[in-house]
Amino acid sequence: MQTVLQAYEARPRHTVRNVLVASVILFLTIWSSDVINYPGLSDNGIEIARNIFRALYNPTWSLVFSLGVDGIPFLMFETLGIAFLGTLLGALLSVPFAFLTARNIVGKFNIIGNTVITTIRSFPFFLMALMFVRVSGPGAMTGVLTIGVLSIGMISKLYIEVIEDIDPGILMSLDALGATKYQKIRYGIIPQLTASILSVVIYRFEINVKNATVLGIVGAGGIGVTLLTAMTAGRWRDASAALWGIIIVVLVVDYFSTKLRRRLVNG
Amino acid sequence: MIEFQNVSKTYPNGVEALKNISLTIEPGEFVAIIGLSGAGKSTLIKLVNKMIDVTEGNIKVNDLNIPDLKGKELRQYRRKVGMVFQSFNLINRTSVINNVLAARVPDMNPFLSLFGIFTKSDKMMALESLHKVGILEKAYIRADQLSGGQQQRVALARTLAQNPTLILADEPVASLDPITANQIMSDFERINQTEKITILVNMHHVDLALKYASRVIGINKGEIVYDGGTDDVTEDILKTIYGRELTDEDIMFKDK
Amino acid sequence: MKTLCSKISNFIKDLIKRNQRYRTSELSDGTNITRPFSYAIVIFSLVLIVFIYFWNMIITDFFNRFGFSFFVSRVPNFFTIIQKMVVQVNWSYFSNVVSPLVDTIQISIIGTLVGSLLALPVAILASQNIMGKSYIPGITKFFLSIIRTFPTLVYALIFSFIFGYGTFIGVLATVIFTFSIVTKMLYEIIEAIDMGAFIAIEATGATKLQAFRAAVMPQIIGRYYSIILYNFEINLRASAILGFVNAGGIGIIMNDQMALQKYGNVAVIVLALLIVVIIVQNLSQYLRRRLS
Repeated sequence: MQTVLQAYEARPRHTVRNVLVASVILFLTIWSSDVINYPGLSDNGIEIARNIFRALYNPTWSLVFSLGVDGIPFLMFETLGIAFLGTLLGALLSVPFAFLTARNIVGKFNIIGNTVITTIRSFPFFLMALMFVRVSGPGAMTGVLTIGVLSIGMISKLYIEVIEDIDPGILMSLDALGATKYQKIRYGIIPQLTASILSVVIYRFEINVKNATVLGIVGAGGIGVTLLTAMTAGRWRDASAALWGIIIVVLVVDYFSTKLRRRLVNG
Repeated sequence: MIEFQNVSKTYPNGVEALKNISLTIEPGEFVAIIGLSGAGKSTLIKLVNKMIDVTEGNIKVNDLNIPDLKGKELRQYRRKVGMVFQSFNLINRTSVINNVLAARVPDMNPFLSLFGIFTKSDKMMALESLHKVGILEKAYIRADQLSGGQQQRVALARTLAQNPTLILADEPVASLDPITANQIMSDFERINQTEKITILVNMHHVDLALKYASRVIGINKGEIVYDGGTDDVTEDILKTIYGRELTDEDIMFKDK
Repeated sequence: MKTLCSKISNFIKDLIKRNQRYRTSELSDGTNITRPFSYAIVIFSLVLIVFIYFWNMIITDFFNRFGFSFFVSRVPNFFTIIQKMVVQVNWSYFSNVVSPLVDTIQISIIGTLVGSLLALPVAILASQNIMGKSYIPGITKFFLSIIRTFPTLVYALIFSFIFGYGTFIGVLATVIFTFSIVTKMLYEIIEAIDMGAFIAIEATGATKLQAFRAAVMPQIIGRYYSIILYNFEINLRASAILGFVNAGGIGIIMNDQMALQKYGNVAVIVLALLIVVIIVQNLSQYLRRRLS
């Protein structure tokens, strides 16, 4: 039985590891700090800041309530539409990608599929938008295509997980009672998947709504266009109207999406 | 010295947990509170360190009016009162000694406590407390790797690290097997006699209470029905406390 | 008017009864069992309606304006660009990529670290179980949800008008964005932990902050580091875009070269970014596994 003093001397010491980790982090921080070069305010910087701040609680009400094509409601619906159709497109396109990358289907060749999917995931999304602009011009259609292709990244990952995790037990019992391949898919596989697929698709939709608002800044339609043009022209109150549109729509979508996904998880 | 003066406690849902309780406990006593579940034992204990508030009446501990305490005064008072729980309430993911050191945090320099930097004297004191309950060799092991009895000892060591004048225990052995429960109760007895700390335990195992405590307070439906030495407790008295014959659940060592 | 109302309500009641009969089956010994109403059909039709509405709004409108065949003829453009990027890869451009890429990485590091550090105290304020009977968590969560609605680029855009050109804007925008996400992740974790140890330490006379540090931190620290790494990955990808609003980093040259149609250079930029992202992803996966 040790004495208390002996126990103290015998205490485990992680000093080396802790100092190492702390220094790495400290080094990275200091190395990166030259990026915080305060460039000073732009011309009229303070005035602009004050204007923006004031505009925040005094947006252009006519735009907020206008039902026309340049009204905030229409633009927010357009943005929602871009996100919605884009997510659906992504969900569709991901199917072949997933089947070509699942280990229990293509075996070792999944490395090809994996690389393609990772490339898509890491591809800077506004570059993709710029590329699609060459196809369908600036506008909502480009937004749909961009979001569609970008969603492939997350959704096909999910499909793959689900495909690789299929409980073979259920398939075996279906086999035992003589089901055809189609029946096996319909009754054995699909019920297991629906809840998780829906959950991820809804989550992706949520993310895509936020992305869609931003795509407009790059020229792919939706409320981002208004935001950019208004701010560049110095029409702060219009810009504020656009911002409020974004806030309200994103909050609503977030709320329902969280609620829905919780219901899905709990059955 | 603990004084309950006409204390009543009614919970927001209407339950009258304690009705007009008055008692006095002298320093250095080892008191066991017994009674049915829901009789009010747990409520009584929690009133002492103000984990819950009285509805009526006053509690005085060494001339401090407990219901009036708040903020810094309350925290200073609680420094001197240790509490042991039925579910141990340890910090599972860290080592045993870190659990005991957590009791030193309020006395430390706030900056150091933020980073978890303890002085040598703090660490020595924690180790001493562990030694007093006999699990010094487990000091650097993760808390959730210990058995139930060992974990409760860590909790006990944690209270000792506060240098308390009073230790409260809310069903400390209810989750333990009979042998370990016996060990923990004898730990309480030892601490009461060597460190001269007042001990107030509530428990529903009658035989253990009678074996280790010097004084018993029996509570039935929120009222004190017995308050006296352990040696004077008869079966009739027990029936008044419990309102019925004793069952197997009320006894730890079944073959007695 | 009254007869109309009663007719309608009778009709609806009749529908409900019919539906219930439809869902009820009678077994051979006379017992009845009714399967629960399936919302699937309702939801499916709602989604279908929404889908048709949006399709009309965007897709049909687009084809009306530009024609389907025109669209089809332009689709190859997308693949031509990809092909040009692959074929005309201009390796010598790489030296121009290094500096902006380093900027992007640095913006992500500082933005993630500062944002995550600021997030912890605020997450504590937003946790109902730590704060007890207080209205502070409710208010905090509300303001956080508003800040959370804007992606990094929007903040960068706003700041670009106030502060002028440079990486500073990128850092500021990243800090705010990271802050908004990490606070939510943290308070969701904090509100789900076991409170036993926290109550016990509070009973020893510690303040809420001390009790948090002693009892809660050990339970969440692993996940906190994991969150920081995850956000670093997200921010790395997001900072690439910041250049579009002149907030520094690799986005600026990407935009320029794209506009000049120098796809060979664009390819090198994308490749460099890709390599960094993959390295960071693998590193982060490894570290996160060690942490749990």
